[in-house]
Amino acid sequence: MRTVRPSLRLACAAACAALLAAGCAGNDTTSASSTGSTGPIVIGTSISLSGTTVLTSIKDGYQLAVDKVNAAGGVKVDGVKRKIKLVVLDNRSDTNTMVQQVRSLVLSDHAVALLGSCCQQNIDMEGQADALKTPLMMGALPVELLPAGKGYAWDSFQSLADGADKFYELAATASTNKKILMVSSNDAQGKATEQLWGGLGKKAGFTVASSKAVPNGTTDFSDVVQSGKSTGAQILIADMAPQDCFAMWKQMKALAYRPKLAIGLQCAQTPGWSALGSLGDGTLVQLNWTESAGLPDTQMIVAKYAKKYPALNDLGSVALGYHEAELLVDAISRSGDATPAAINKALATTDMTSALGPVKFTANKSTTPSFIGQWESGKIQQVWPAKGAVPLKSLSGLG
Amino acid sequence: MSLDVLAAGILAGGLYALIGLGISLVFGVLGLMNLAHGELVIGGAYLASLLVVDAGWDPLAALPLAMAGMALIAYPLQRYLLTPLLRGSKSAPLVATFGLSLLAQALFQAAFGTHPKALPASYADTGLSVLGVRVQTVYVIAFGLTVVLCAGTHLILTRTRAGSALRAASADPDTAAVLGIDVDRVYAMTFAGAAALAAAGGVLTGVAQSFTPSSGLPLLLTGFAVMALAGIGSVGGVLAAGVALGVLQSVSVSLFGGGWRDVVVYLAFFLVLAVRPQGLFRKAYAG
Repeated sequence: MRTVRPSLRLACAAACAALLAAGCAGNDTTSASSTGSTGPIVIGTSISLSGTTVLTSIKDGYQLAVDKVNAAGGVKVDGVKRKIKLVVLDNRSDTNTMVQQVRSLVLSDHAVALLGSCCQQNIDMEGQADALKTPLMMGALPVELLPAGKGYAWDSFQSLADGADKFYELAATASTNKKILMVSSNDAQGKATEQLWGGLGKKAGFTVASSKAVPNGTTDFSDVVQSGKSTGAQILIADMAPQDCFAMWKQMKALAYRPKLAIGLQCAQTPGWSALGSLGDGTLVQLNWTESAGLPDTQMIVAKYAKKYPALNDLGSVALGYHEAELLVDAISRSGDATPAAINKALATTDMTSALGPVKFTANKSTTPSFIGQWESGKIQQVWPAKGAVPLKSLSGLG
Repeated sequence: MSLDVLAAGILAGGLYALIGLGISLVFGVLGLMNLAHGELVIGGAYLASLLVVDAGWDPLAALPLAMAGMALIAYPLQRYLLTPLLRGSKSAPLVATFGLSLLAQALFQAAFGTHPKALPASYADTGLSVLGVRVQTVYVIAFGLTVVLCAGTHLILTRTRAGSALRAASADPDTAAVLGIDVDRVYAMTFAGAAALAAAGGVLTGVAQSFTPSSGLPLLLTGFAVMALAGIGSVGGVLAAGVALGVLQSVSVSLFGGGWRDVVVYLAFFLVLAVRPQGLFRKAYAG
């Protein structure tokens, strides 16, 4: 049997004492930043600002909301106006880094609430928020994809089903044979999208003539194109990474496959879609925000960021960040004492209209409106719903 | 399976071969597994984009300059960083190229952003019909260019004094040095040549597809697969292996669906390694 040497025991005891002391100090500071304090209320985000995903526009939206509330003197907590301090950490698109940073934000920076990142990172962050019992307000994750957790993660964003319904409403107004070619990546998200969009398409009176799953990084789509031509599908639904869509769009045109409607889920949402030039014209895209939809604070967002982000989808990300932070600030102001538990409770009773529309949570989710846009000459314009929309144009890029 | 699919596989294989050729050259001569090769490919695409997107050049006109530009960047990297490391441990240059890969990605991101870019050209999205088979024009151009570059590389290696020096430095660097061959210079020239070939692949990738700062890794894997199938040191083998890989991908997708593409390709890759570890073709320039 192994024994612990006295010197090692002493070292362990010293380390434990140091940890305890650090823990106590941490608690003191936490209380200083929340109940009974007049100092700033700290909220934090571990967001991807470098690496494969760069979410600077969402971060700018967070900052915009925080700056706005601070310019008005802060939020009123326990009758005292307190400023909000936003701590932003770049997790470099790395999940392990994100996990460490979230813990650091809560345990070292004493953040009383968190703002999300995007997509899969938001799902991964939910577990951390639950474990740390700290509310996490997120967007950039379709509400259907938020797993059931322990109640500390809140998602206010588009619904996949609502987005698909909007597309089919628009497609029904166009002159097509209602036959769909569906091309999706063969990962979990691609499969889920294929099932959801296929099922809703059938309900809306469309037929999935051909469905193809392709791995990320596919460059040869000759098989897909042949399938589209042979089945005569006039509607293309592509759910792939941007670089895959770029290659497929070029091949479709070169190999003379000409659908009448095409939507690029994920891929056409990148502002980089404009790099396709006229080939990208007419491609449809899902949006969470448009300038013409009449949403609150649109003018302010455009005035502040249109120069930095000329692309509509980037501005939509600013609006998304602003929306998330606005909801969190509203909950902090209604929480009474700005503790994580009280903020979490306040989030559940949210009832307001933010930059993305009306928000009211059910089972920690609140669906914001979806829009369909269309690329034309390097820009996106809303084509559905009809309010605030321009008429749908032909898919000229592939024509 | 239609002839269109088969033709697409053959032509895509040309681009794979062009990407694999540089990797094979560097490994055959220097014994260096260059993990930054994908970034050399993407670097070529970004260099070309400065001329194509910003100045309105045709990508094929920008191609020689992109090749020269990447060669000029690669030469000092090999001469003053990688060659000294090659004299030390075997793993140091490998780690260094991995570091260069990460550094290059960060530089691309800082300079060009993360959104995908493409090189616009009239032949990017046009097609040709040959004997009733419809193919994408840019892949025909890529295949033709690959054949020319493979033939040029083969001629340089086998018919010139520089090629003799390179083969000597590859076979026995110490003896080559005694005979008066500047081995460090030969290594640097080889690396620069491989970078130029990579840049050519990058320009064509940018026209046919798109690129982002992180696009290099899948291209590197494709290049490795080509090199392993070809065997070290065979220029003709690289071309044949690229075509074989392209056809294998197209056929497997057509027969089994897209999800099986990588499974079939890498199964073939491991089978070749197991049954014929030296690759499918004979050595021509490696020692």
